[in-house]
Amino acid sequence: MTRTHRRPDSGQALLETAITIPLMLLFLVGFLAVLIRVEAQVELDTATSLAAAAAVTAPAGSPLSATYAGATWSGTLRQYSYLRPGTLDGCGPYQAGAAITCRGSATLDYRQTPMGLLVPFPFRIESSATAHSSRYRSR
Amino acid sequence: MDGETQRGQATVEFALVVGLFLACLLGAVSASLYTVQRSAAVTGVAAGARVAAGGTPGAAGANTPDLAGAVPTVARVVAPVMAGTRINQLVPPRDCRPQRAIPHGEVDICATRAADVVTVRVRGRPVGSPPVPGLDWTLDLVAEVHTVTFAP
Repeated sequence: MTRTHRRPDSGQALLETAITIPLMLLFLVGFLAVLIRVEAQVELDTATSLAAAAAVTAPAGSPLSATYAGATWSGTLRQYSYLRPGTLDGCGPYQAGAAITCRGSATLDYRQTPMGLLVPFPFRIESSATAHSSRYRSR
Repeated sequence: MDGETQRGQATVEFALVVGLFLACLLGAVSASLYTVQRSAAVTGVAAGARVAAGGTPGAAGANTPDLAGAVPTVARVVAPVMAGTRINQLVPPRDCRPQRAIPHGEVDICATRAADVVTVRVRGRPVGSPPVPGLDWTLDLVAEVHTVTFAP
């Protein structure tokens, strides 16, 4: 019976590959997770900004400010599967000549995407936006 | 293991690692491009919604949403980041086509109104975004805003 003498480096390549491939995939998934985090913030900022703009279009002193803002905000955010709208506060009522600052929050959930492997829990993001009415508006 | 076998093994390993590396790199570049396109679309629909909600010029136009003005506004924002993509500016009140009906390499821009709410939408599959399982690698972005109302 002959015995095969294996060189010490015969399994090295396999080991290197086993380390390198998961690391590369991890970097890629992490990169995607950061992109989606940034994108979610952009989307929440946009929805909150539009909500504030809608709030100052209501008649002064009317509770319609919050209604307009809420409809605008939820309508803009509703289509994202990974971004669940939370609360929208501070949107009114609009008072003549005053500004309105809306504060919105949403839950970012990666679990429906491949990034769920890296971030397997939802977390909250926040945004605020201020809108001024036209100074030429009489009421 | 003789020299020739070792050289062959090294070539196979090199091909595997380089292939995987390039796939990851392509994925990262594609994701970055998609993010830029998506951000532009978000900005575009928001700008379009503000234009639409602001009213039209002319008599009695203050309470009439400017849907026709919204669509080119969105197109101006998204066009620079969608090279090679056909941008369909739909005439209001025509709604965007369903996602499945839009071919790859095309996006629809549309503006509609339901009661006092204006909706501006960008929908489609721009060039440069290959599908990734589990991710909605398409654009379907909407901005809704309550129209400006001017009390007499």
